[in-house]
Amino acid sequence: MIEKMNISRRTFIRGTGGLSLSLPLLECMATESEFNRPKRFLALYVGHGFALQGDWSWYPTLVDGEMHFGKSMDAFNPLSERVTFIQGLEHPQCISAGGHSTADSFLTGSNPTAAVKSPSVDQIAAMMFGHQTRYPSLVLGNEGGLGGEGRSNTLSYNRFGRGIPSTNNLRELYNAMFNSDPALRNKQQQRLRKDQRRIDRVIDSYHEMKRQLGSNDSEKLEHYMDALRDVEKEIERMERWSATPKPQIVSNDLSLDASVREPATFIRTMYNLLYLAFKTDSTRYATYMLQSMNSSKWDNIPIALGLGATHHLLAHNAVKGGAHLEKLGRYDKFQAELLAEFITKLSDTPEGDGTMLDNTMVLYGSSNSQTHVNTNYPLMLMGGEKLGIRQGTFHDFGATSPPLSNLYLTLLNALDIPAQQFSDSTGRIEGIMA
Amino acid sequence: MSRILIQRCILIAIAMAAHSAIAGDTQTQGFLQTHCLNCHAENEKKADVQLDQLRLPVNKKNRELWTDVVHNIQRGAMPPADADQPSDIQRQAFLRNVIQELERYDAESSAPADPLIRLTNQQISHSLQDLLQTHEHIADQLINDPVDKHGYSLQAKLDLSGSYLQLYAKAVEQVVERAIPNIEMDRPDIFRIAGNDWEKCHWAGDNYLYVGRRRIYEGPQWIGDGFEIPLPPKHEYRMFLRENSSRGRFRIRLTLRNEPPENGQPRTPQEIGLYMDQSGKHPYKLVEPITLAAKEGPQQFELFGALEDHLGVVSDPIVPDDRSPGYWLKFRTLTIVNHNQLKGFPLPKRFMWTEPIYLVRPDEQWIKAFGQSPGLIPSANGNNGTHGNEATGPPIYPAAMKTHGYAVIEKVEFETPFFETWPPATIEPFLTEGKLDAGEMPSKLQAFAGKAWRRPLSKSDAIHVERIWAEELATRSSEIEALRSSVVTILCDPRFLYLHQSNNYGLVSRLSYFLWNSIPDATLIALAGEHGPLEDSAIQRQVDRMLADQRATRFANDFVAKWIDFTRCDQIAVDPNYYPSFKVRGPRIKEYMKQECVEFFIHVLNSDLSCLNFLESEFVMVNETLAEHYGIPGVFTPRFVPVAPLVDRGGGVLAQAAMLLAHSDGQDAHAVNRGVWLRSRLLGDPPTDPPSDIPVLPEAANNGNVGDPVSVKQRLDLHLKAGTTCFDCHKDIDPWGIALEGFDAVGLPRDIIRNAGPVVKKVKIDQQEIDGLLPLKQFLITHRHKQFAYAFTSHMLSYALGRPLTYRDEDTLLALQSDFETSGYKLRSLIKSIVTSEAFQTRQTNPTINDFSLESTNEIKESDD
Repeated sequence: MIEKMNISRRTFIRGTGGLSLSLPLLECMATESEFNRPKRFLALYVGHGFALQGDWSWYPTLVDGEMHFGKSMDAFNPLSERVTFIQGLEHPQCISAGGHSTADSFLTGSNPTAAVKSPSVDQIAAMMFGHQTRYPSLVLGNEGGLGGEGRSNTLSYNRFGRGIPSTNNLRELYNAMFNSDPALRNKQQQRLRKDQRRIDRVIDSYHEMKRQLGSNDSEKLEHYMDALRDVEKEIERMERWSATPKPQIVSNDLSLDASVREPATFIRTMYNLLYLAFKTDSTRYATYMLQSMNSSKWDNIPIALGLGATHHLLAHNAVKGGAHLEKLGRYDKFQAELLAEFITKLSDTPEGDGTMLDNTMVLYGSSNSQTHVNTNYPLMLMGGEKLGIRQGTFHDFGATSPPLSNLYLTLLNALDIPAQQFSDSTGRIEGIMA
Repeated sequence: MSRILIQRCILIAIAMAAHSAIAGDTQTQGFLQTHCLNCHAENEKKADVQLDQLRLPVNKKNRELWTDVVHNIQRGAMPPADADQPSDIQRQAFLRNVIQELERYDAESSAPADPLIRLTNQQISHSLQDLLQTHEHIADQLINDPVDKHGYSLQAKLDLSGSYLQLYAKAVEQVVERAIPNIEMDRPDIFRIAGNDWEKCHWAGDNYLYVGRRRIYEGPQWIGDGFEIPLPPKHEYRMFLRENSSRGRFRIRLTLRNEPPENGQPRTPQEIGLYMDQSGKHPYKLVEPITLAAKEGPQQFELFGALEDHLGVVSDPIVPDDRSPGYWLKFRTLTIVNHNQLKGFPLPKRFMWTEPIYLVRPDEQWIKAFGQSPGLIPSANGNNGTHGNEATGPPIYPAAMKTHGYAVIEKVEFETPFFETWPPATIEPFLTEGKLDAGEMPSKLQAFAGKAWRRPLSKSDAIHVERIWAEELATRSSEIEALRSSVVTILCDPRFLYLHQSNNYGLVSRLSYFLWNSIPDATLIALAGEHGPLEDSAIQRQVDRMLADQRATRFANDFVAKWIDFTRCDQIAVDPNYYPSFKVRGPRIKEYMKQECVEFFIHVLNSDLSCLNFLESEFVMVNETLAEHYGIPGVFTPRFVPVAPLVDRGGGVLAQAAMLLAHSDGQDAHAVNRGVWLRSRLLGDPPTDPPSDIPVLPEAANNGNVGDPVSVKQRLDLHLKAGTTCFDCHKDIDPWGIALEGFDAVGLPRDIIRNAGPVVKKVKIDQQEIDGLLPLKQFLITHRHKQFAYAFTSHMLSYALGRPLTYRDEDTLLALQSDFETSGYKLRSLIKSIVTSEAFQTRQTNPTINDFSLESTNEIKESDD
């Protein structure tokens, strides 16, 4: 049982595995009944697919209803109660798309050839509740940026269906969330003051125009004024946040200068930043594109790991089986170990009436089952038990094959988004929720 | 007359109007009883319309229904032809009564027309282009303007929100920062590359040549100036530009030579297309078409463009030693294609071009690897040369050059970002003798504000601008930043974002936003400065001048986009399982399809042809790729040119693939949508919305599989069962679309509908049997050309006024339609009549009126964050 402490949010300091931080340590803020549960969502993606056969199968095998992990996933052995595997889902609209063109649609369910995309799962949640935290959402990606059409480097699409460039700049991320350097703050303040100045000037113009129109009232002009007031409110909100001190963290586990040359360190630092972002309630929704399709720099990681070929090529060759399959499996293992480390950290950190993992749904997967095949996405859902997710199961939806959007709709509902429909969903999905 | 007297007269007039409305009520009820209630009373409610409770006076609840009734009786749609008809006198008396009542109600209840109207996203974007002399186009970064489902203008309804303003300000800041660079600091590095610069640009040269997976040859390094690439018909030469910036202008300099065939025949002109695309994509985004004249000696060309207009690239920094397999996908390619006809050589079906060729000049290493083979090697089929020598057959270019004239590329040079001068022209208006001068800046900014706000500044405006500058200067670290910030503030001003309706300046603004989608130029502003109202002849002279200007293509694009419904065309995703060819050239074809519609419009406008050509024409506008799509032989040019249509298809908009595609579901044709489109766009008679209690069609009707959508065909069958709710409305919609059933979702002819059997395209309209597209067009030309003129006039008037039309516009419309007919349906003449009409000159907005056709298909969705 966690001890309730009557303590101010900002002064509390506590050490956790190499990190020490102060900041809305949620478990000590209130009594259990008052616990304001942060309902979080994180989506992770690896393009080109996983090894799915034999010893190296990414999917566990079921023996008497128990999951037995293959070689690539054995890091999840201690976590088997906290994870769920899902088989038999895909985006129906993407089936006939190009073999490497489905990343844009992974979290949006959009038709890959339609000009207008739908907003992604995380952004829908951010639209609804993003105002509660300093950052409505975090959009991360190893490659960074938007990427070309069909070869997205981001998982997130905003409410107008436009891609949000992902960031891979560790130091910038850190600065934005945790750096209280006065110079940085000054710069932001200047920016806000400039915006305010601009608004003051156009409000003058509004009055001048109103005077010229005389008795000829213009509803349009009043709406313009309303819009200005909305922007002013937004400036106020930002000012309020900038007046709210950033959470202070001391960490010896952040290698902010890591580059693609040290892929494990880089990814681990990204995960750590995500962990801290959640921990300090700087955001509740995030996406992290681990491996884009046809990426440039990150496609070479397997070479750096001694696997002899790019990820793209590994995935292509994997269908030949044998040693080829093993190479892709070893890369899957590389990713799985880093992920398991992150998940373990979440599950080891107490929060409210449970752990951080209880309040965080983590979706991990790909939109290729094997390379170029846009059906039967390998998917894994972790955590979120306190949001109602049933964990430790293996679902095979192959028989009915509902759209993947049905799963997303279900997850959105678990985040308290009262949506009835997501993209091409036909309903909620059975069995995911307890 | 004293003011009091006038007021009294108005009061009396209103009282009389009220009185006559009540007196007319009995007549009105009698008319409804006799001519309407048989079908539209409680027991039958045909088409879900019930009139037995409808009474004068007009009130909030019944206004819409009365408007519908007036609309239907005005255009003679009701009572239906097979019912007893009222006499003309009865009809007019009824309309007079009801319209008078509607006007009374509208005058009393609605606020006076709003004197302001917001610029559309397109207009904002083009205004910025002209104000800042930039090529950048910000419309795509703004929250979409709503689109009317029947293609009328919704500009009068445009509003803005806080999020809109924020996005807008951000986009403007970015454009301004680039247009007004820090001239001392920001001189950008220029990327310049020539076609023989193997190290920088060439796939075959930059990478390696392989045999199988064995690298046997590294491309030559530099071949000097003796660079010559023969380009016979249907061949292309491609440069991979080791460059991936995503914005900026570019310049391409080309030197080409026209060589006669080696068999001694004379030279012929060569049609050359220069394309710039994202790497790995097939050539489709044309920079410019070139005609290489049939003469001896080098011919030089200089072409300009903007990277933003060409497909995006991955904008990561380029690492010089990057050799990862996907790295070349980051770059752009420049492809030079010879479009001329190649006779006597079989062309592969899969791609348009026979064999991309990659030039390699033999050097020692080459000769060691390949022997004394020619310097040109064909690349792998369909593999864009990624493995240089996987060719499947011997090259045909040497033989082709014997019998065909060919182009020779002597020089290609690419350069970006391109500036004519430095400092760039965009910053010039703010400089004094080449420098920023804080003392001169207020007057420079005032001149800019005058252009942006489209009228000479008043004294207080001038002071306002001065204050913006002074404040920015006081708080900013540098003059250049203060300047940028001031410019952005001027562009966020309501005087820029809203059109003001009054006086001559308002009128010339309206004119320039109608025909240029942008700010009026100095000539127009000078004209507006003249005293007194502008003369019609002066305005008409301006129309001629403006239509001759390059900016008029924005009008053609924007009007046609709304009229044909390009938004819908963009949204329809063609199913590649149904249309495999679309998988390969989908994006290319779709853009060309849309361009066809615009080019057709421009051709009608510029050649002063009759607008009845939109119904049926003896020409179609196609380029080579689109001609291939349609199966039109003999088009060997990247330009859109007028050619004779196929006999079983003909011309006009009904034969245009963009329209047929936009009104399909991506798999099958959609007869209902096509019918609705035809009724609203060609006949000016949009059907009413389906009732809210529309019956749900049985699912799984197809082949018993739950979840299978009901096919279009099944839907149509259900509509046509007489006596159902559907039938009443759909009997007047579906036949128009069914007549087009002989064309599939991508606009190609068909006899069989996939999964649904043979095409049925025979329908009865006005008792006449119409069997398919050609008879349909004949029917429209013969029997409905006047109605088309009315429809076309109404769409053009709505576009010009920036608002949907109402029953009040009926008189204006009829007068315009009549002028239009007299002119022989000339587009230019229609435009001139519109701009000199009272409606355009006084421009009343009635935002509350006529909501029946206004639902947006593209709603603005806002959240309150």
